[in-house]
Amino acid sequence: MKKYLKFIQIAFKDRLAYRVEYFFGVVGFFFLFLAQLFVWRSLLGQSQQAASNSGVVTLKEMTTYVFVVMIVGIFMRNNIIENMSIRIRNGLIAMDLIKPINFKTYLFSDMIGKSFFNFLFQLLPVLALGLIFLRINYPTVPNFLLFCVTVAGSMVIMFLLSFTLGLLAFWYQSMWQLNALLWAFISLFSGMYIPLWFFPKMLVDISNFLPFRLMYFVPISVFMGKVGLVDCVYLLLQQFLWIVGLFILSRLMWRTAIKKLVIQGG
Amino acid sequence: MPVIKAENLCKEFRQRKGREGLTGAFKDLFNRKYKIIKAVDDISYTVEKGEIVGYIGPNGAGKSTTVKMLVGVLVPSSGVVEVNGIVPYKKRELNAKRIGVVFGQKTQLWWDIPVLETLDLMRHIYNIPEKQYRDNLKIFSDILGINEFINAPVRQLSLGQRMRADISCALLHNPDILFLDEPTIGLDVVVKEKIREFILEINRTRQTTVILATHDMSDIERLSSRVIVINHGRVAYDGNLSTLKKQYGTEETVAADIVGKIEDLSELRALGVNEIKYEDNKITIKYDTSRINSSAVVSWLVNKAETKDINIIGTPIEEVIRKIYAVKN
Repeated sequence: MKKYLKFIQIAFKDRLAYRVEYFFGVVGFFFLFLAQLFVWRSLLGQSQQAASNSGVVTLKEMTTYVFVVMIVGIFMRNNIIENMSIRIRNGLIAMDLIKPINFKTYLFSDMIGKSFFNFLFQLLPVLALGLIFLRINYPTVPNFLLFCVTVAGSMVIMFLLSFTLGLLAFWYQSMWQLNALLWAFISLFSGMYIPLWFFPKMLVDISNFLPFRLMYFVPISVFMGKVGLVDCVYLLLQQFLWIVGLFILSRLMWRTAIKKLVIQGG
Repeated sequence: MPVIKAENLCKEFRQRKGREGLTGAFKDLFNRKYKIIKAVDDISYTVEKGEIVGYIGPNGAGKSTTVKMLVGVLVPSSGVVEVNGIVPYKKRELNAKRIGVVFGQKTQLWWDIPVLETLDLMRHIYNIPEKQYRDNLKIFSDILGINEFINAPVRQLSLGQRMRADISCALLHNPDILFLDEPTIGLDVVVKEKIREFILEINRTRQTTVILATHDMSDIERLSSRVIVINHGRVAYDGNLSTLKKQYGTEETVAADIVGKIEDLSELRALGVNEIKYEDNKITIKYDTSRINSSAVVSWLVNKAETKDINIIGTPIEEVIRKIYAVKN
């Protein structure tokens, strides 16, 4: 168990070596956020509100929404699929397999370490700026706690999705198309660009079958107090079921993948 | 009870066969054709504790594939493989705790952080007790000299330094078995010698079993008494190195510096030697070991003249291996 804590530490230290570069990355990040904000401002127009599936949405709410998307995004971003694809393609995966570590747990620890780094060096500065200059709706304490729990669930779902897809690198040489496809789905169905309040019914129905909305839209709705306690429990249960399902799937795929392993050289 | 057991081990790979031309490529999209490559074809052997085994063969012979099956990275297509009584690919993590692996072309170390950090990370991964960790670091510094570069990140190291760091990494947790796949490739003589010395020391003091897959014959000569020759995925020879040389390496050379002069070479010729070169107080005698013993030649020599320096040179092992490959083809 301790060894995975060490992995988290190493991932953090590894990033620390390039902290200045990452800090500047925040600037781009922040501008993306601002751009979205201006789009919504102009979309909502004079009235500063719009009609949706769940009532009227105000500018202040949309500002909050976009702001929290940015927060959640810090913990979602990872290069797991790319990393796995590279390691599998150039045979470095062999070096991971000769160590007495669980590859999946190692990747997860790595993601946590990087997220923690991102939290300190990217999120906090943006948060500080945002809270000073923006007017957003602050959550109640219980909502905030529930929000944290749902974000944790999102992270696990994101990880398992990325890992499971990453395993396909054992079968397919080129993974970036798959990665792009995943992100296309996430962009649409997670609510990261457009809240599901604005979706036509058919898209809402589809997205209810997919895990993506559980990654952005649901945590943000919880943050904004749009979800009652009972519904919240129900949604957490859904997250849990997706996690269990993906976990089992990834295990099965891992076993098959290992048998299929071909390593170049010698 | 052998520490390593391989029984009828086979590994097949499916390789895509591309069809010719544009129509061929189009057909390939819908119906791929595969070629089956038998990288390892019925290999069997056992290794006892404390042995150092040299594993030689030409490129593509199946050396690395076998090693990868032994360490649990590849799953055999058929056959049995057992290391320390465990099936490596079935209990990968358990097996990994008791073995150390060095792949010549790939590194185990984290690229951007200092070597010491990786070693510290290994300490956690393998649950190495503090004392053992410090003792091993000291040994690695003494014999391999890693303290010179232990604080540098791996990307800044030369090949020789990186290899030494990788070997330290592999032995940090005192594994029972050490697998080396081309460990001295591309290294200079000084570093090679340090590494060989180190491996011998570890084998002597800890009875660590060593499997050394290599092209470098001088590695084999220096380190192992037993060799397994692999060719086309099969075992071509498995036995003692000197027996191997006797069986296949038939030509030997006696070279000596003489004081004075030898007049009569007829007795030497009568022995049936292949070639005699004698000029400027240096004599070189080449003969077939299957017909003449070196002691016969040497005793003739010392009876005939005062010798300053005598060397007996066997067939270079490359020659021996080439003969085996030729025969077994």
